[in-house]
Amino acid sequence: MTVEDSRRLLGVLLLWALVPFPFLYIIMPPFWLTAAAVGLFLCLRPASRLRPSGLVLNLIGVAIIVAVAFAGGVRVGPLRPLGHLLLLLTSVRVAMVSDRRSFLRAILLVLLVWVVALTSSTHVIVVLYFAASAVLWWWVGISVHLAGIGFEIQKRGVIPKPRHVVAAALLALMLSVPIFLVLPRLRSPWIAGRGGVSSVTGFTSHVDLAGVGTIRQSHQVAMVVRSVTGESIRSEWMRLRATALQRVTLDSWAPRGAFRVPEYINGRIRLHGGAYRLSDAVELEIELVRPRRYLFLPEGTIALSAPVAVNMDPSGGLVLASRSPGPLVYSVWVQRSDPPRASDPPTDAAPRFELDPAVRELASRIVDGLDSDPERAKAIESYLSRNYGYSLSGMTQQRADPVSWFLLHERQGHCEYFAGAMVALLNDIGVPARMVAGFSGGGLSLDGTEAVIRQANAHTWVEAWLGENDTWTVFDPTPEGEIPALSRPSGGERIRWAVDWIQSAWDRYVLTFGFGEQVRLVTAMANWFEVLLRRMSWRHLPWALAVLAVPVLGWWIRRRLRASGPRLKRKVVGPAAVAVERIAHRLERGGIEVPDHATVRWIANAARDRWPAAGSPVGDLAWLAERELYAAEGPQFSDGAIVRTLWLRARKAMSSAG
Amino acid sequence: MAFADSFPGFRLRLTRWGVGYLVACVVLGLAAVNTGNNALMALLGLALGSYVVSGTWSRQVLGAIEATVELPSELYAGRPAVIDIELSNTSGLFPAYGLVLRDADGRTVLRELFLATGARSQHAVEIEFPRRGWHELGPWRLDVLLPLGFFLKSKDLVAGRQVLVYPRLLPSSAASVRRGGGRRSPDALESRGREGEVTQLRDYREGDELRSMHWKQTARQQHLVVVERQRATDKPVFYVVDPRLHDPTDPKHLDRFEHMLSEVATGVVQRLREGVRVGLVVGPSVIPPVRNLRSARMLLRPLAEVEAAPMDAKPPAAVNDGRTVAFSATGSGPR
Repeated sequence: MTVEDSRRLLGVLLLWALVPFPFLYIIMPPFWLTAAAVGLFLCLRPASRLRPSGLVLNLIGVAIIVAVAFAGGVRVGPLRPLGHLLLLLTSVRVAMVSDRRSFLRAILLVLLVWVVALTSSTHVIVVLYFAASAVLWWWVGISVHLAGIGFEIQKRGVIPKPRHVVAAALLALMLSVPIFLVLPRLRSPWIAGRGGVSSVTGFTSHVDLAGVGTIRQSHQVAMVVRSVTGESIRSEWMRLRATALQRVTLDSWAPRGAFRVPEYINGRIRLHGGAYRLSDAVELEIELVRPRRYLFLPEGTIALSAPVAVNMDPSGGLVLASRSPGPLVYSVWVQRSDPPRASDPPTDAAPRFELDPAVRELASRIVDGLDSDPERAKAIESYLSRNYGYSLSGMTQQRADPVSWFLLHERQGHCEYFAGAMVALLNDIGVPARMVAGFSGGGLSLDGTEAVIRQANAHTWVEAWLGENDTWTVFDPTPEGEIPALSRPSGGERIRWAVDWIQSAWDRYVLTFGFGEQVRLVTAMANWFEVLLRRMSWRHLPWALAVLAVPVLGWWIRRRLRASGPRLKRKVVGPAAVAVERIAHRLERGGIEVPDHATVRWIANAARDRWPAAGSPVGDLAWLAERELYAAEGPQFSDGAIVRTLWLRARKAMSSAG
Repeated sequence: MAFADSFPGFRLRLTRWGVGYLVACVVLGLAAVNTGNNALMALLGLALGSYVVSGTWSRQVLGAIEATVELPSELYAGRPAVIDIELSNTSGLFPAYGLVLRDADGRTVLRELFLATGARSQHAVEIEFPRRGWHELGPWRLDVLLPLGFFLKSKDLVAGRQVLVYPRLLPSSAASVRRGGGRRSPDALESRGREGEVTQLRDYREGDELRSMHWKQTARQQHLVVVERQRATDKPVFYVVDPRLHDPTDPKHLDRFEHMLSEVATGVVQRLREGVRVGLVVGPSVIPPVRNLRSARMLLRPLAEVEAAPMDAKPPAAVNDGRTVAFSATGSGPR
């Protein structure tokens, strides 16, 4: 492998490793674009070599550090700057490859880039990328080793043979499945935020404003909502509420108040007593994939039936009384028209923090000239959604007062900043308000009776106590286009639905595969085995043993045959070669060890020494056997009669000699 | 079949690449367990799966490769000998990549880039022995590094054996002019002649002299016929080698001794090619005369095995039947 070949190969590998980055948010485009440019340059101009001086290298090093710092440094956590650093260093190392040693070092860096790209991807397409990468890396591994022991890699992909590489990679992939299943899962997958013991929407219970962006990127399925009656699911039902959160400190929110036992009527929890009739409601079944603490209730829920005990918090949120393994399936009844709202009175607990004077000034400026609370609340909602930008990547640094920072400086953030800011502004002007955590929207099935809700549908909004009918009014200050919506598949979207289904399975059975799934898998296997044993009577046992014994017996016979098989190890063996083989066996019986690599001539010479009287027929047999085995024009079988005569003469001589 | 039968002299060495791979797997495992990232778990699964596949592949290849080696019947010191090696892959499932066959000293004898399942490949390898005598040709080992090179697996593919290397053959002119061993020597000239009685008529063979032609019979039978006569001087020539040296440990003397043996061997081969019966006296032992080249090994073998002896050793045996050409490394020339 020449240096040009190595550089071209590195360019291809680097480009391949960069494929997922445009679809990820962890690496900023300038960085992966730089690496892609280097990869492309190596592919197109592998002969151009860079030999920068020490001074230039130092300057490049400084420039890399400056670029990484300029892109945010460690403000956004360690992973992003490390990724940036890795990409730039890899680009420089790859561009400077000049011999095999530097090639091997550079290929390790490219491998690391590929690992980062692969492990940051969550989409199901990554399976294809993973499988193709396995084939590519196998090809690279074989080629690099062949070159390492002095073989030239033949061009046009002849060596190594593609079918061998693909077969090996597929075998490795197949083996990786059971290994994947048994590897120990000590932590939950896709951890987001700082470790709270329980969560509401996937955020920690004490909402950590730094961890939401990760959740909003996740395709993990949170729950599936199905219509029991076959009625299409409506978008107004798909705001699934968990609980309301009060601002506890400057940077955290939590549910307040004591739990109580909900009211049961006819075995169902009635959220509003007997005020609403179930006959006017539609029944929905909700399958919560990974229940944590709260049950999620669609807007307008009047009743619920769950297989587990639950408590109710003051805001109407239903809390699991004990931990429950997922998935948890429960039924809810949703009022079709005029849905009821939360009606618990606002708490009058004073906040334990001081609002920023600038925020107070902003609040009074927004509501200036407005008289009624509904108008003021509407103005604040409108002000936030129009004047502030939605962003998942901003506001990731820990701030003492993230809401003030969002309102006064950053002016961009995700739903929790919008909701938190609106609550802060409403509280400032004396309107009781709270943040509501839950999910919004989802993906509808083709017939509209089922909706898949993912972690990416996690959302927060606002409830304000405006004094109207003694209920809480819902506001959503997040810009309209950024609120997770219910996506309805059109007629031509069957493929998309299928992909979505695959993605859902990928999320559920691969991405979120954890210790619980391992336990369930083992339990299912144990159950299956138990059922098998129960169904199988003793009279089936001999058959089962026979079925098990056949392959073992076949394997054993094959080994025996191989052990006593023809020493000459040819696929086509003629009669003379068989006769020589017999002579070899006679030699062994006579105490002469015949090595595996013994040739026909070796066997004949040994036989002549052992039985000189048999020298002539043995020599003739050896000559015939060599013709059978080694004739250039292909195997030439000897005349069976001649061989038989020679063998009888040889055997007679051998027997008489003893 | 026992493991030792399939893998004689099996050796397993973890390569640097293999060490790095194992460390990377451990790091990957720690990262996967620590983060719970299932993509890392899948990656670790693939890494370990590749490890298993690579190990199985290389092991099967190592067990399935066989070799047949054919040494030439005569080996001369200082002259390249061509060894025929046939490698065969007896596996029906695993193709072999990057096979390396090494001699006992670890030198690469041959490389095979690719050997398909059930395929054979034939190679001619040149090997040269610098000195005469018995040589221990240690086992040749097969190295299998591919496919992914985590381990270098090797086994003895060609069993060790002892080979006898005959003395170096010198250019015929040098030997014949200086020592009378070649075709221009008085003995050789004496061996020719037409004075013998006719023994038989036979067909012409390549190399027969024109003056041996029987022209009448040739004309009558319309193909070349030669006449064979009994040689008048059909006495055997005995090469007498005196292995005694004043100082058998002196390198200069030993060099001279080796050169002398080379001259004798050259002379023996030349004479036999001319059809002269040649015998040999090496120290006290006498090897009776032989006539053709096929029997040359009877003379070359003692020449290959003889060792220099001190001056108080037994002198060469006397030969009465035939002419003698004496060789001694102590200074006395041919008689």
